[in-house]
Amino acid sequence: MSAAPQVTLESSDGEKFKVDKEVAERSVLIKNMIEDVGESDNPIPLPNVNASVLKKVLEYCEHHRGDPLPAADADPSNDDNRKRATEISDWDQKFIQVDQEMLFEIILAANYMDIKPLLDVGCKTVANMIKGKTPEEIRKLFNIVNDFTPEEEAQIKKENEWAEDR
Amino acid sequence: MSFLKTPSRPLNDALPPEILAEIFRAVIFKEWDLSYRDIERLSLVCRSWRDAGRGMELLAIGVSAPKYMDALLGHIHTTPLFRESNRAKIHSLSATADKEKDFHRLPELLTLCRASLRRLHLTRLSFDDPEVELFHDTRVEAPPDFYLPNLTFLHHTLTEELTSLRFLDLKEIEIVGRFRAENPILTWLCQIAPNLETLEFSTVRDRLPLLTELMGSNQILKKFQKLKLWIRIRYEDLDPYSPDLAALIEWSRSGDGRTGSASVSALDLGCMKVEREDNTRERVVLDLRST
Repeated sequence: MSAAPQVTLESSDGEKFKVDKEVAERSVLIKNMIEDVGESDNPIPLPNVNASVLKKVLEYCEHHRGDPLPAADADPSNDDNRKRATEISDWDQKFIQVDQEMLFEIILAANYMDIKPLLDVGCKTVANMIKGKTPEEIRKLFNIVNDFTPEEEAQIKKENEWAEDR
Repeated sequence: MSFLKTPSRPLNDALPPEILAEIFRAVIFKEWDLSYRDIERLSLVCRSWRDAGRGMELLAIGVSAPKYMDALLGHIHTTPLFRESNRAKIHSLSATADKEKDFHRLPELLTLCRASLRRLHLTRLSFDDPEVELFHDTRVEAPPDFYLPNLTFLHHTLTEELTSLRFLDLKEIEIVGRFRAENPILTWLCQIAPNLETLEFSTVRDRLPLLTELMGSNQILKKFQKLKLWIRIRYEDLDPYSPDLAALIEWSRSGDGRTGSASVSALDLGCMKVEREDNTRERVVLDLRST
């Protein structure tokens, strides 16, 4: 039995990762690159992803290597898609328990490498951190400066008075 | 360790607006409770969050008061799709009302999203109040040629308010609450949704005889060859040996509703299964295709 085909990925800081092609191809970006360039021993450069983040992303891809790939035109109003849109699996929840900086880096890497399920997990995790919080609590949590002028803030509060009515 | 690190970059510096918009979608996307208010609340955080929320296409949305409907329509007016083609891209719309005036801008909203809308929930909260006649003088009126071409699911408390609409591709309707003998539900359904495949009633046991009468008094089997009927009743009302339920089962088994045994257990019937949905409800399924 022959070994599974492998590819080498190179992070922005020059570290090389040899992984099964099937695992790497969870990334649509890499899949397309392999299809465009063909089989090659040259490492595939990922200039936007550093080694620590790439290691994490590959851990995700390895765990989900056998999962069906999401349909590009999945209907969000469909019940199953709706359910998927609101759930994070236990493994994914543990996987994404990282500090904020790493969480943002994973989201950016998933977006760049076009790994939709990982992007979803990252966005849902941030969304869960946001839910139920006031604007001031959100600013504090994510180190965001309130850059509205006093006049703008007064206007927005007036426009959105009803939004606080729950 | 992570908690000893210096504070993270501000989220706004770390993530671009398109990812912020993805996060906003995840915030508002709650199962069966799609709230536009959350997106409005997020716009209070800072300018970049306000900008990310503005113009965002909202695929699934719920509104439960006139002010939310006004705000939603105001938001839609900021989206690129509206500016380009006077349309909105809403796939799933849930409107809950406790006063008839709550829906007075619904036709406007339906018109904007008519091409994209697939699921429509129209619910009133106070349907136990016999004095309330929803849409009494503010009916959902639409131009004669108006229809929702891609709608496949409709959930509604009453039926007669939508008589001016056509749902040519509608496959599934769920009707909740009271229905009346004088309300020709099935005839009406035949007219507005000729391709209906699933009809679901949420009802209580004392309404079952009326439902049986309704089903038996119309040409439902001839009109809807592929129809599957779902009857949702409260768990405490579910008694397979109930004469009321048995009468309905008889009708579904025989096709004409006039033969069969009144004492047969619902659970023994091949055409019927009882599925536990949660702690309080069970769903009784009568599959007319197997009769």
